[in-house]
Amino acid sequence: MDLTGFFQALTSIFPFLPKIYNAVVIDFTDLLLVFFWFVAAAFSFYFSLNNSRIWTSISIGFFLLFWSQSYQLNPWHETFTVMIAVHYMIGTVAILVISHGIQEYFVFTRTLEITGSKKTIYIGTAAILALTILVVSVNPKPSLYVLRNYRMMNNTVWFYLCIINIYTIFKIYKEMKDSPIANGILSFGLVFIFALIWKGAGLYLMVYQWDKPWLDIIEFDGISTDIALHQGKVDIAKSLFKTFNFLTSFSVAGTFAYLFKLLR
Amino acid sequence: MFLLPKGNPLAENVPISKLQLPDALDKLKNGKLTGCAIFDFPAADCALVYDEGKLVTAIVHRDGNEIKEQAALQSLVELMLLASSGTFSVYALSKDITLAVMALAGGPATIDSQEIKLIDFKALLDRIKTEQMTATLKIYTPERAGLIFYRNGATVGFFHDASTGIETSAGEVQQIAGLPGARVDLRVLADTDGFVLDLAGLIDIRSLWEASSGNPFATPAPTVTPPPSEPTAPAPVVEASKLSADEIEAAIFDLATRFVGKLGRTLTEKELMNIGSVASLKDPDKLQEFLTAIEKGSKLLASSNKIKEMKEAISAQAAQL
Repeated sequence: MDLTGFFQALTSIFPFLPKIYNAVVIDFTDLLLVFFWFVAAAFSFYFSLNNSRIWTSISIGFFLLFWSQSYQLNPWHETFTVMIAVHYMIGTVAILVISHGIQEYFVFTRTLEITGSKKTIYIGTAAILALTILVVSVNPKPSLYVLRNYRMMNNTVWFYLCIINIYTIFKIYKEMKDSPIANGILSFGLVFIFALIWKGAGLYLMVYQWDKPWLDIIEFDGISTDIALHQGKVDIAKSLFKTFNFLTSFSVAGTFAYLFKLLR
Repeated sequence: MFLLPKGNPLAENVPISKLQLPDALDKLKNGKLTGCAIFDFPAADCALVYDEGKLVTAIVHRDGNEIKEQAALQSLVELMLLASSGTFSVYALSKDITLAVMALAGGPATIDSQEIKLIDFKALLDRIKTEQMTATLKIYTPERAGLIFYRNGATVGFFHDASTGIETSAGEVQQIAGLPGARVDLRVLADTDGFVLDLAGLIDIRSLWEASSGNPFATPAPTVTPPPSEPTAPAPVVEASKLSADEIEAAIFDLATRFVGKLGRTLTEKELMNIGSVASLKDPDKLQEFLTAIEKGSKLLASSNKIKEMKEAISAQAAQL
């Protein structure tokens, strides 16, 4: 989808925006992915309004995820490297907050106690984000190497927390398997299995320096790469990354729609 | 190995540092608990068995010794005040299992630490059946332990050290019986003609607690009240009303299970304990408090329509009180 005209018109209305020199073409799949994250964020926000406080953490997490994913659609996102770093961190904080919500859900199934307040969660998340922005701001402008490190940190945190979340969701399901929304909770387990493969494939490519950011970095540095020797593995990892990225966002939207039906 | 069965958890692994013993025991009494409360200290264990809120058995295992009844309660107070750590759990059990647990915790040992291969095990099982014993058969080795519960000679459940709840099949306990060196204890509930003393009425836990916690160097002087000369059974009219309340309570639990599932039932039991007892639902404010509390938890388990239906059904049941 060619949006060059739209963004050029935007720069003429808001002259402080950087000029658009290249064509802005957004892949339809990327747009669809962000739409799925938006659906998840919207549904979880609705649950946090009308249901229990425990949904607040999960809701904020999915909203942050939607925010960090949608940011990459804007054509200026590569202009401000500090903002790229901040958005990688927002994506990392998102899984931390979602995992916090899932842990709280598990504690609820064991103790039947709901403690804390929505306000604490909002303030806590805002404080973590403010700290993140502060850390990125007071440090040197991130180079491509640094941005890649932020991305690797994001993949690593996602990978390990997905494992923990799958285990926790299985334990939650065991506790509430005869409850009306048990299958909805189980669907969340599927979402995190997809996310584990998605982020795992991304992490794998980064660890072996076969990822696109690394190849972009070395393009002009004269550093050699062994990617040609392992093209089969790289292709599998890349297709896993792409497929499971789509499946994760699609299943998140589907799970929330299903939970909405069960909780209505 | 001190092993007691786990039923529906009403509280699990609560740190004892957060516990005010007299208040906790009052809650169990007012909530008409049928089941057991377990205190797990680093160097001792204590179990209190309740039958419809009546404290029927208390036992402390400490340094390889068993301390029972009033002495056990005094020992529990000391342990609570002196132990640096420990946990408290409450499990609701069925009436049948509770009676068998009473036998396990307080009953005389008809068979004590006999090696299974040295006794006629089949004849023992026949004896339990023919003599219609309410008992618990404990089968154990130094590493493992299993329990079989009997009510009037009929098997009512199984439990072992790896169980998370009462089981209906003997598989794992049979395996323990087949281990080399497995031994067996049989504890039978003494015939009480239906009359069981409420230990909570024999000793004033609150005074004992306050006296002990007020001055840790003072020797606690237990306030022992004389046992009632007559059974404390309520008058027939009151009994009829209580029965009716029990039926309503059971109906409320069934409704919670039907609409929200097993966790819904546990949630309802817990919230009922928090407001006192099912009789408290006569008070419209208490009923509202109860319904709000179960709605809050149920929102994580069921749809709003189901919760609404459950609240209406529970209100209808409470109106019959």
